[in-house]
Amino acid sequence: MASFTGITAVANATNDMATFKQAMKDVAAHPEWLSSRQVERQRWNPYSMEGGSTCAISGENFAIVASDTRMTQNDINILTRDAEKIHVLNDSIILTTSGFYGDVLQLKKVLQSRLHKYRFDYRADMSVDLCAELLSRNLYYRRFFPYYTGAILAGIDENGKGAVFSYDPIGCIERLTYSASGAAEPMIIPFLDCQIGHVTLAEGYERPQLTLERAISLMKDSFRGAAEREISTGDKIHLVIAETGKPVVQKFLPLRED
Amino acid sequence: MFLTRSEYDRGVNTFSPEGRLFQVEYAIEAVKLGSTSIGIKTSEGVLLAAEKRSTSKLMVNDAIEKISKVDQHIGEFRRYKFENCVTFAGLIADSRTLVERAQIEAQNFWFTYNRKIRVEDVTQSVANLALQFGDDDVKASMSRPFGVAMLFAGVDQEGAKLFHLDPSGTFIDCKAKSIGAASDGAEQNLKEQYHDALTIKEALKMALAILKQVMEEKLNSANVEVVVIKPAVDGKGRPIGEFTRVSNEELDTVITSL
Repeated sequence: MASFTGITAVANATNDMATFKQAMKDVAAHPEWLSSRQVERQRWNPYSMEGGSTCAISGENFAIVASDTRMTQNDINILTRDAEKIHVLNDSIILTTSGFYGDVLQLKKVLQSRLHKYRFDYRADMSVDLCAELLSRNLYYRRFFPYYTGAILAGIDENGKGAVFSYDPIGCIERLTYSASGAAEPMIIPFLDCQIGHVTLAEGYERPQLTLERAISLMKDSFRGAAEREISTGDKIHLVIAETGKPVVQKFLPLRED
Repeated sequence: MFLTRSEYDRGVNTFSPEGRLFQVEYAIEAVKLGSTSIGIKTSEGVLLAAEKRSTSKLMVNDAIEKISKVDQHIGEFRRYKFENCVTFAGLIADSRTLVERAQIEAQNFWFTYNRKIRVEDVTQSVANLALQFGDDDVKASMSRPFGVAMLFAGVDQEGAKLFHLDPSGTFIDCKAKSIGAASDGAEQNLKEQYHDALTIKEALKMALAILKQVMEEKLNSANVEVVVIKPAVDGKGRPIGEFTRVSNEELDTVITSL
């Protein structure tokens, strides 16, 4: 008899828990403060984020760009492990983007066609300096329905120096030594601030020169660190190296092979 | 002038059996009705000199502008700097259309790329317009060829530049060139006197001496307009041109010394 009562108690407790869970779910889905107008707005979202991270570092005579190749849906579901987020536009311009992949592809197409036309109009390949301005203008044209992309443009500038230009989704442009964008940006930037920007290093300490080898190894470390903690970043590093006077080199390096 | 006059000089876009477009050739002749202009390129910059022909004593000569600015922007120290300018011979009203096209194209380039357009590219864009004529009122913007020849002068990243554009849309990179009524005589003089080591001072004297020789009226500071564009450096260390109109006093000094 006693055991019977016990079972009933457990059954009631499970029931109570289920009821409670359902009530929580209902409240979360339809909170009282949410008016019918707001519910209406949430129905369709033209954007989605496919995760992933990109990063670029520039030095005296080189610029390197890296990204992971994972594409995710809702941060969990892996859509593909071979998504390319780096686009080599010409010998001196590399575009890398994170964000909404549909917009990324459109943006890439727009830039490619502008570069193609520029070749005919001005009988020369566009330099990364000009492309940087062009991209900024193109992003701002879409001020009120922006491309949902965190773009970074890198390459070798007109003076043969490495260049990295960083953008927000509506075209605010900044030339930096290094930049990152995407899901792991908050993890990569502090690391590079420390290692390349030396912002935390006290005065009087030796600041190692940024060589191509050092930049590449820092880049690998950034992505290894990011892949460890950030679930939408992973699978492979797509590494693109542009050096003054040399053709662009592309490499794929596996991430987290454990 | 053409002995084989026929119906073929009526339609602007009909070839004659000998393969000529008479209307275009007539437009080239119209240039010779305009006043004389001279352009001289030196290692120190480019110089444009234009005759301002006044048909009446009652005309205000200062109001005639034979040399127009194509490109301008406000420099670092709020000082105006100009890169390209253009002088023309032929139908003044036609020249307005072409100058406006050049100005728009230069602004467009600056807006898109945040960079000054090259002299050659601005000339090319005007040349494209020069052949957009025809009796079709939908596509063509002009019903006949433009009756103007132009000299484009400026300094860009490639140094001092001088281009000659004729009504057929052909443009040529020149060291020195003359257009307008007395262009044949002036050009003969230029050929004899031009050398690669010219200074701007010498070029100014040469241009005024030639104009004095070929002009019907007596040369004075009121019926000539001279512009000099010298190489300068903008706020970002890029080569640009600095535009100066030679003052009447300076002109008078040179003219009296001739």
